[in-house]
Amino acid sequence: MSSESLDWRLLYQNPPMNPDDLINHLFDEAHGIPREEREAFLRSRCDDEVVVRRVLGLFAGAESPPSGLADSPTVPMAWLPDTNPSQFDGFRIIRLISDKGGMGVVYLAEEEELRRPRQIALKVIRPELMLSGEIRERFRREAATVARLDHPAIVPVYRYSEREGPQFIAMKYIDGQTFGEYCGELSRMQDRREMSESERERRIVGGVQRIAEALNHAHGLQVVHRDVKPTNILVDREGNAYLSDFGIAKVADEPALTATMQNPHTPDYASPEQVRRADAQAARDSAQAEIDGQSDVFSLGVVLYEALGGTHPFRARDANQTREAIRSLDPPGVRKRRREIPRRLEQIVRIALEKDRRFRYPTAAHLATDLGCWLRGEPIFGREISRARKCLRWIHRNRGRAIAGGFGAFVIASAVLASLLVMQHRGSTAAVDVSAVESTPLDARTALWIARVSPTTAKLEVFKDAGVLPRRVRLKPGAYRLLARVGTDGAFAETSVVIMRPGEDQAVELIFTKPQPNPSPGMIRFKQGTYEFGSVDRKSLQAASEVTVEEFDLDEAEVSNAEYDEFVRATVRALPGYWKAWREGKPADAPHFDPALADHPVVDVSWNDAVAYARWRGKRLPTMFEWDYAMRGGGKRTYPWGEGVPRSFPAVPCEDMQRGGLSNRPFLIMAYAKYTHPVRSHSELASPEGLYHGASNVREMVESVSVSETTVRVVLGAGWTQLPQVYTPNEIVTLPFESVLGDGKRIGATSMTVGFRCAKSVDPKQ
Amino acid sequence: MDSSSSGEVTNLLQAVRAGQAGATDQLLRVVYSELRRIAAAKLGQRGGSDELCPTELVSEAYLRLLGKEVVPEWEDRKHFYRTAALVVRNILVDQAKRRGAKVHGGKARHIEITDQVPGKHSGSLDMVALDDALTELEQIRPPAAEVFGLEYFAGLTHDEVALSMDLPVSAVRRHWDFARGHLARRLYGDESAN
Repeated sequence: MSSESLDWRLLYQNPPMNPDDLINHLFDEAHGIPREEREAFLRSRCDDEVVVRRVLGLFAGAESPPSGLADSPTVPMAWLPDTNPSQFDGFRIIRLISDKGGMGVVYLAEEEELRRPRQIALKVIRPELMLSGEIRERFRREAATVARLDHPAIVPVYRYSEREGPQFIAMKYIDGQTFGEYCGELSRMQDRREMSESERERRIVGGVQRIAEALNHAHGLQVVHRDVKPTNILVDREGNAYLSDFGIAKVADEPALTATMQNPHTPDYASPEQVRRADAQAARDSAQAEIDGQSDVFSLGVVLYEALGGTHPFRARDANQTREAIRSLDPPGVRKRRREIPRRLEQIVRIALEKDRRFRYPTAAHLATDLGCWLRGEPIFGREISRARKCLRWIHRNRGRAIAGGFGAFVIASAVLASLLVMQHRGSTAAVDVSAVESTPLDARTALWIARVSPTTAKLEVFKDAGVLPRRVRLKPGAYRLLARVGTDGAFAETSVVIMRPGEDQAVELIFTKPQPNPSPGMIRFKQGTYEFGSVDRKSLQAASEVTVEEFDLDEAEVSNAEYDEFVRATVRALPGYWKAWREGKPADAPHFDPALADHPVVDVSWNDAVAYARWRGKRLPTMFEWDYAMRGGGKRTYPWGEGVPRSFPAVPCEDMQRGGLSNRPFLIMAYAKYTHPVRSHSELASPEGLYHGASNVREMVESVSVSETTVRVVLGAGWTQLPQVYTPNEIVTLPFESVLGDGKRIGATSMTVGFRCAKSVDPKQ
Repeated sequence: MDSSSSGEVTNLLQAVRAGQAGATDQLLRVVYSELRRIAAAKLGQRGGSDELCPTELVSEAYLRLLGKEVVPEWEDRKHFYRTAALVVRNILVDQAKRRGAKVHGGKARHIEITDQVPGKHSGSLDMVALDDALTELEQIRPPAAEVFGLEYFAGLTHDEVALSMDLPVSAVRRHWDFARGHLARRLYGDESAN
């Protein structure tokens, strides 16, 4: 045994050895032993028959290897012409479209099995890149990334395959040209006087606006494209632009792949932050800024500049000089390149190309909005940004004087920056169409107010007098209460609206009711009052604070399955998951849910569906202050029924079942049926005012949105999986507002332990 | 191949050695296209023959990409051959998969079951099965997989492998035997290998 083999074996000597290591070890030891003594030697070292036979098998194989292993392999010449394949897993190649892409070659192809096959584009990974695990992963991610996007200006993916050979992505075939070619054609048409200059500009702006909208959609789903350039924008025969090639797109929550192709040879369309990041990478500086959607805005600005002016704003003799220009050079206004360009369009381009991110369009939606304004001849929002920028630059240049001049200039700059913030909101809103049900006699005095729901106080803060109904209002992301009043008899309507993302338009139909002298049946009235919210808790997230609750009515019990079913049938809503599970295999006319559970509380409903239910009943969800105020007698009791947990408290699943069961849906559905109770039951646990189940049966969603968080919903009370001892009254528990499914779709989050009840103002104050 | 490309490969190999991001991929691309270029040239010369010996290609690619350098670092040579072995392995597997896909309508991979005695196998190997078995070997005994790859796919001799892996020849031989034993067992089953 030579010394080097011992070195190698040291790695394997720590007992206990797994069989593989043992075999390795024995093989090496027996290697120098003559063949005829080997078996005896091995048996002397090891009494495990299986291991001995495995080692002997290795020697047998090594000494008379199959012929293929003895000689070097040969490669059929056939691997050479692979550059022109004729088919791929179900697709027939028609012709090569492009082999210029970084990772893949694009073919025009058609499906083999369809009688009237549609043409598709097939992006196949470059054969030499298949060897790199990272690139394979990147290719796979591109398919997965695009699959989660759904926008008319994003080329959709039909299929991804990696079976039997190279990976490929099958996507919609855009019959047309790249944006660069399209702009060249427009220019030639304009030169030949076949098209007016203004028409040329409008087509370019229209295309770029569409791409800005597509980017905004992608950014909303946390996807940053990172490689926006004319060759990645396709234009079809009708002039519609499509964003393609998400090959190096970054999905926010995924770990980054290393930078193989991240810094392409040509940095022409990179943003200053991308260039700086590349510098930092080259310098192995770990403090690298994240590249976000605003970087795509810059790249699209470069595309727009080049398309309008006919010259690239930064391109220099070599890549390094181009990078330097992107970092530090303000390009001449696009009117310097082509003086026909309107001044306002030049301004939009300049704002998109701002190196200082504070003065660049903050989102692609802003750029899209301004381009849209320009197309419609409306004023652009970018003006405010420009003004703020000028002001700050002036202060910077005249620092000495500005300080001498006191706060004046600073105040002006602040004011302009404030208007900048207002502008940000304008460009990133969603439209809410508010109307009233037809039976409401609307008159000229019907008015709508929009109040912001404050996460920290019970007070509604009216911030917008939105005028008469019906109408469309634009709201930025946040939580709101819409209040409307009909002038004549004081009838009012109120409902909650939450906007998660810009562009998420909604329609709301209000139901007006007259102020009632008495609460409607099934509701209990609570007088106006002031109390300490969060005063009884042990570990509440909410600091104790004094809140004033206006007079309101609250449902005495949770919404039951039967009640929710009336709503589902009237509005054709989706059934809660456990209803669907029960209906599986039953005829179509079967009840929606197990009739034995008619009076049990409905659960597994998303916050949006709960709000829609309340709206349909002409009610709303209670705020967390109202709910808490009502259940705990204005903060005077720990539990709805008083203090201490009664002996007769309904059973909850024992702890080990909870532990194993909370993520186990079939178990949860079964346990829900067993452990919940009809909504009007256990009157011994009800509050003296008559509210059922404030700390038992199901936890309840409320209207309030947690402290400046629109992504979660507040849940109060104790559910059937909890003993009231282990829950802290008014401890704020939250449920995610949305769940993201495997395919990237977002759905309202639900839980088998969370239900809700409704409230109604007696006379809302605006 | 002009001297600037050969310099490029040297730079790349240095970058690989320095662990620079992306350098390995870049090297793969260069080696792959060089192998292709040589193969295409050979195809033109030979006319009739439809088979190539990849190890021939690899040594020619080495001469063209690195031969003009004075004396390449042994570590650079190792990276080059390791890359070349990976390229050849991949070409063979890809080729086999594609043929399999054609023959079997692209459905499932066909694994041949043979009752022949080891040593008397004729015809070609199931490259896809070999690839799987090799991947398994990489887990069980990494140096054995590497030795096998360098010799089988890149055509190095025991001595050359010993040099580039900085191992004694006796150790290389042991790894080589282990690899062949393992692969024979995986490809033709325990019983037949005994």
